[in-house]
Amino acid sequence: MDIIITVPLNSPDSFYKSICDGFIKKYGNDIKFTKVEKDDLIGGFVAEIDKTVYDTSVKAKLYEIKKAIKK
Amino acid sequence: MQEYMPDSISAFLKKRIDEHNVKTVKYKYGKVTKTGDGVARISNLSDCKYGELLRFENDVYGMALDLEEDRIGAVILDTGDTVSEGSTALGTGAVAEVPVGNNLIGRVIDPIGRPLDGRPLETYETLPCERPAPKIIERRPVDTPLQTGILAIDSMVPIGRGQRELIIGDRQTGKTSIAIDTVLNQKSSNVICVYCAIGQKASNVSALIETLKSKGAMDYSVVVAATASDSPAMQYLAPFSATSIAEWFMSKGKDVLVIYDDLSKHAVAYRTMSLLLLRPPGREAYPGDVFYLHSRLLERSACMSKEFGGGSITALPIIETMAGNISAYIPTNVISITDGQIYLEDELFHSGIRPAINTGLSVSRVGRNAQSKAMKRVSGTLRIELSKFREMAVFARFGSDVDASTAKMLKKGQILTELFKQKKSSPLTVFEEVILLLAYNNEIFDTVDIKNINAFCVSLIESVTAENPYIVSSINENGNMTKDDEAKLIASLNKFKENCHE
Repeated sequence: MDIIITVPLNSPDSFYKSICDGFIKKYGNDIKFTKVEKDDLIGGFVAEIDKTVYDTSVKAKLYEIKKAIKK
Repeated sequence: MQEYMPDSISAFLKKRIDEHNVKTVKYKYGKVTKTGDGVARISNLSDCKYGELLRFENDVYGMALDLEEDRIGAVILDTGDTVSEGSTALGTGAVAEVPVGNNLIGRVIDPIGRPLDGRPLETYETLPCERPAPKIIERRPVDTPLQTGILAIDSMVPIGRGQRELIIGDRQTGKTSIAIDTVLNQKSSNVICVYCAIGQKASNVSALIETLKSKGAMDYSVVVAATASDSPAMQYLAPFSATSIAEWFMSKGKDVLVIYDDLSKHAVAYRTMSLLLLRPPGREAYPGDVFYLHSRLLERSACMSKEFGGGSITALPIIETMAGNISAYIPTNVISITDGQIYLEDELFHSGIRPAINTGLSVSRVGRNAQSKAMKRVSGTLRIELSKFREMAVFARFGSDVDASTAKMLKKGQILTELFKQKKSSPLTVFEEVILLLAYNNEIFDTVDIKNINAFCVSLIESVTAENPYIVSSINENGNMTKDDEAKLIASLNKFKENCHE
């Protein structure tokens, strides 16, 4: 299983580690992680697993709130 | 519109945000596998709907138009190469929408509602660009005239509120001028005008907006513009957005006039999109559904019954022909969809007959029922007289001797042709139109030199208006002319004629 994890640029290694640990706990040890660092990600992380995105970034949350208010 | 207090709004929003406790957003995304020329192919976006807006990276939007089993084809709404291969695309779950409401009046916007006039736009409602047309039961027959202020049109090819009248002709024959003159003439008629520019030069659109502003027409008009530099998708959306804006006003019981300038460029933009999406080309390389494209658009023009608000949308689509060929694919399609057409001819335009309306090929299929009583009384046989004259004029050109009755007919034809010449941006009121035709029918012009007819008309209108103020207001307001009124008007016309000869 491939998991691409995007984290904010210059975020501590422990943060990335803890995310990886979480996924290992859930899916087992057979995972290939790819780390991507992005400077436009200001908080949270984005994980891509088999075309599904788990997005905890501030940007996604704000977008969801925007959609909710629009309704 | 409902009024809200600022406090209650902020409390409401706070509650909504509190309720919305977002932790992790989970979504499916697609990958752009191919992009270029304003279209993108996306794989793995399986739960996407037809017409759904897609969000690419960098907040660029697209519209899903081709749904296949393993991939979808989408058009990109913004121009520029901002979508790259391998980037992600998300379905937003929404279709293309346009803001609607009274705040749009006097504004210039693009097809998805972004203001183009440099001022922020505040609206409270939106409507989807594509909406179903009003149902049969909701409609009523066209029965109220829409005055264009152009004598030749109001008398011979009258337009009713809720009608779809095509303006067709070659380039530079005055198509847009007729549409704009009609907009200018709505100043006192309480009709909202929506002008939709599709694929035109930005300089032309800007000049047109200046004209509308200088004549005070922006006080009741909305301009929706997708210029030649906008993407084909934007040009495709423009008339649908304009119609949605018009429908909002119609739902409030207003009469609306929509001008689509022009639908040939709209068809070309749609052809571009379709070919890039690899849909099979048909006649003239247009896709198979180009008829449906225009029929579903123009079907949204309607005259609503009283129970459904009583508003109306009158549509004036414009089609540009090539070398006068009205039997090309798009012209024949739109001719068959609309309720009549005004055909403008290059030859007439260059011989100084402006507006260059070809009376033989111009028709109005429902407008006659909507014509005001006064106009009906004076315009009965004009079309026949004019076509007889055009026929005779061909023979008379050879310099052959003609008998007295033919000479008279030729003279009358010349007078009528002269009367129908009208300068740009100078619409006539209903009374002015009626009085000119009444004078023509009563042979007031017969002794006037053809060259002096225009000046004669001006003083004739002045004199008769001053003499009959009550009849002026009656005809202008409800279009009625009683027998007594007519007799009085004829008396003043004769009096004026005698005074001129003294």
